[in-house]
Amino acid sequence: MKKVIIHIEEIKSRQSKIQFQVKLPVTCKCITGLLATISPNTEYVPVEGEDPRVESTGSLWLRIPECRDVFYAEDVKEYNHLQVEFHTITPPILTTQPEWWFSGWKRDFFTTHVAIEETIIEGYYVDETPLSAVSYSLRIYIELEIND
Amino acid sequence: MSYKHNTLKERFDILVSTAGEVKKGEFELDKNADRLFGIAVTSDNDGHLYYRGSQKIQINDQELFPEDFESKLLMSGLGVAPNSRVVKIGFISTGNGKVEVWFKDTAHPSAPFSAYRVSFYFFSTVKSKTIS
Repeated sequence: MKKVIIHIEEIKSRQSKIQFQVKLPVTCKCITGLLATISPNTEYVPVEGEDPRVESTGSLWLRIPECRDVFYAEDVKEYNHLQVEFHTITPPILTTQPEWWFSGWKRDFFTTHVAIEETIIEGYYVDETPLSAVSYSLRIYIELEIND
Repeated sequence: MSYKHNTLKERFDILVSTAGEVKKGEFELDKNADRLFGIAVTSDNDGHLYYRGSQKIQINDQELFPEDFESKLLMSGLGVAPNSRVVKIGFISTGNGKVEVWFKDTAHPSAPFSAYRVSFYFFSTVKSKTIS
């Protein structure tokens, strides 16, 4: 049976480095999918000299201590531009380089297979926003295969 | 509701009328629905749903999506092929067909609140006895 758990971290300062742990259910067999999203909490007020086009919001690493090291790493991005192109038929493959975490304009889980022996995952996140005001939620979705 | 290709397609709506509210919807799937295999979410204001929405969905007290699961992960743009717009969830027995949805509206700087409708589409296989 599949189950999704969500871990939320609030990022409130620029270039903050956060370490966290995620406890998986004891019945968890393996991790089958991963996805990280960004939700800003405040409206961005333009500041002179700053480029509001955020390429990368931060870097995320997930590891399983004592069993294996880092099994997932991602430059987490905020896809505000997605909404602009959401309603129009834009074949992304023809116009730009395709990005592997999109299937058309639908967010997809990154599929993987990570066998679980220890039910603790350690995470590490570094904010890399070039903007001066930072307040957003980082959500990490972990899709699990669990015993019935 | 439609039986085309032995698939039941049902739609249920939730109206979000107050900012920040959690709205619960209880729906009953068709009695001929056998196994639920897909879900899609749309709205009359896609921007609001994309930025503000999150939900928890259960069927027969079995959790399909946990609390705070963002609606944008269940949405598809027009760039997605029509047959790929459903989020596949495996083949889950519909049991008594009771679906519960807790939809949460959360403030977002890119989408100031106005009332909006959220539509949930459920795709199920038809019980074999029903197919003639």
